Formats: sequence, structure tokens, C-alpha cells
Amino acid sequence: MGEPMSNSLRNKQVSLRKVFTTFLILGATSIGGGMMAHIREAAVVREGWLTDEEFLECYGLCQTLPGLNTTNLSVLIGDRVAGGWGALLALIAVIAPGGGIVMGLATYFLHGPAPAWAFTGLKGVAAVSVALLFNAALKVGQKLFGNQVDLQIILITFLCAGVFHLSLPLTLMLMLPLSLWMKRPQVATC
Amino acid sequence: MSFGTLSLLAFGGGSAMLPEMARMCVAHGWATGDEFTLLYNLGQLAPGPNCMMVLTIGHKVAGAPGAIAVLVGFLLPPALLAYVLGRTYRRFRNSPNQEWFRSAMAPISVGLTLAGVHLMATAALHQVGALVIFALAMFGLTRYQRCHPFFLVALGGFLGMSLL
Repeated sequence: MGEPMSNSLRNKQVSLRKVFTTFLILGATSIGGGMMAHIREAAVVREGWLTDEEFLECYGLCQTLPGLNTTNLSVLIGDRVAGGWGALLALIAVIAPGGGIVMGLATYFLHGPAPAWAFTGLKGVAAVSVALLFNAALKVGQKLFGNQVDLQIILITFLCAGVFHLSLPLTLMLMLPLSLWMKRPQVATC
Repeated sequence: MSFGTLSLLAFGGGSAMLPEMARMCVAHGWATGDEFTLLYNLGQLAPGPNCMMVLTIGHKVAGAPGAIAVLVGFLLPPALLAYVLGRTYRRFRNSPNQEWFRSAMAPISVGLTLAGVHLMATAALHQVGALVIFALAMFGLTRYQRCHPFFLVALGGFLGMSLL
């Protein structure tokens, strides 16, 4: 099973070129939000660099960090599989295609209105993105849904952030202590 | 460029900082409200992290150097932080406290992701056609697990153009 590698900082040694191309493709193909789902597909399902637990661990860490979750996630995964250079290349690769395209689109569209099909097409993409993200959340949470305590924490977090629209720092400030308390190590009590 | 400070404030996903970003851009005279909205939608059209539109603002203000400044100011500080913390985190990976933290953080992450799903769904799924596309994509995802997500995205875009 997922025995943690105690002394090594890395999971696996993957070539820098492989890391770069994987994240480049990710950067070029993940349209319409829900990018975390795309990264999971690539790193967990297709390449098998991480297990779902490790992915969730990285992703959880990214959520407590400032900045864009997806670029941070790329850095963490790149570092895990190929060290410091892997992290840097993953970051560059994941932003380069989108950055280039957005610049191109902007120079084009700032001179006139965007055509209607672009926006209806985008709505279709958005619907797929919801499905991708939902699917990723289900897969990643699979093992947690069966556990009463985990399920409660998931539900309360969902209520805080999704229904009551508390900001992320606020949700974390509320939920982290609560969750730590609910999951406190079971020491022999008196 | 003040994008650096903004990105450090932007906990978890770019959408949280959008209002602040819009306010800042208008206040500095970098873009009008309408231009900002247009650029935001363009950012959605492009692949990759959906905040790449910050580049265009930098470009608009100060040309290519502006775009590079934004890139460095906006992405590098949090990326470095993630890098350093990721390493520190793994160095102590066998301590029982970390096990505890991990087990506490995991359900929160899942809950937050589900909240993100809910948020995106309320924005994206209020037409019947969009719901149909969503259902098709869910079906495709559970049925054909090996299929590259880009297929679904392209299909969704195409269906969107014809259905919505």
C-alpha cells in the first residue's frame, strides 16, 4: 500500500522532458475552469505519478496556500516527480499555452466585440467542466464518504463555502480547527 | 506592480479575488469595468489557469514588459511559497502531527471542491441544454474512464454552439 518514502523527498523519478510535455498538454487542453480535474486525470489516472491520497494531500496543501491553486499544484507535483527543475518547468509549461492564446485573443477582440458562438460554445464547455470537477471530487473523496466523521466535515465545509458563501480564508479558519478537533488522535482517555 | 500583493491575498482559486482585482484595475486606470469583463471572458475561452487574463491587463498598461511583470509578480511569489512549503512538508511527513493534519485537511478539501462544483453549477447549468451536456459528460466520465478529458471539453463546446 501507499507506504510513505521516509527519506527521499521525491516520489518517483520522471524525466524533465516528460514533466514539461505533460504539463504543456495540460496547459493547452484544459479549457473552462475545473483545472484541478484535468491535473488529476493526467497525474493520477494517466501517468500514475501519484495515488489519489497523495493528490488530495497536495491539493489540500494548495488550498491552504495563497495564489492560484492550479499553478501551485503544478509546482508541487512537478517537484515531487522531478525535483526543483521539474517544479519550474511544470509551472512554465502549464501557463505558457493559455497565456499565449489569451494574449492573441485579447489583441483581436479588444478591437471589436467577440462573436456569439464563442460564448455559446463556452457555455457548453462550462457544463462539461462542472461534470469534470464533480467527477474528480467524487473520485478523490471516495474513501472519505464511507466514514461518518469525514462525511460530516465534508458537509459542513460544503455548507460554509458553497451555500453560505464564506470566503476561503474564513472557511479554513473555521473548519481547520474543527476538523483537527473532530479527528484528534484517539489517545486512551481516562 | 501590485499584482504580487494581490496574488498573496488570493487564497484558493482566482475567483475569490476577482472583485478586488476589478476594483484595483479601475482605480489605477488600467482598464474600464467593461474592458475588464471582456478580458475576463476571454480568459475563460483560453486553456490553462483561468487567470491568465491578468497578462492582457499588464500588456495593455505597459506592453510586453508589463505582461512579463505581471507574470512574475502574480505567479512567482505564491509558486515559490508552494515550493518551499511543499518541501518542508514532506521532510516531516512521518510525524504523527502531520498524519493528523492530513486526515483533517482531506475532507475539507473535498468539501471545498464540492462547493466549487456547486458554485460553477449555479453559474453554468441554468439552461436545459447545459444540463443535457452536463449529464452526457457525467455519463461519459463514468463509462469511459480512459477517455481524454479534452475530448469531452471539445464535444461540450461544439454542442454548446449548436444547442444553446
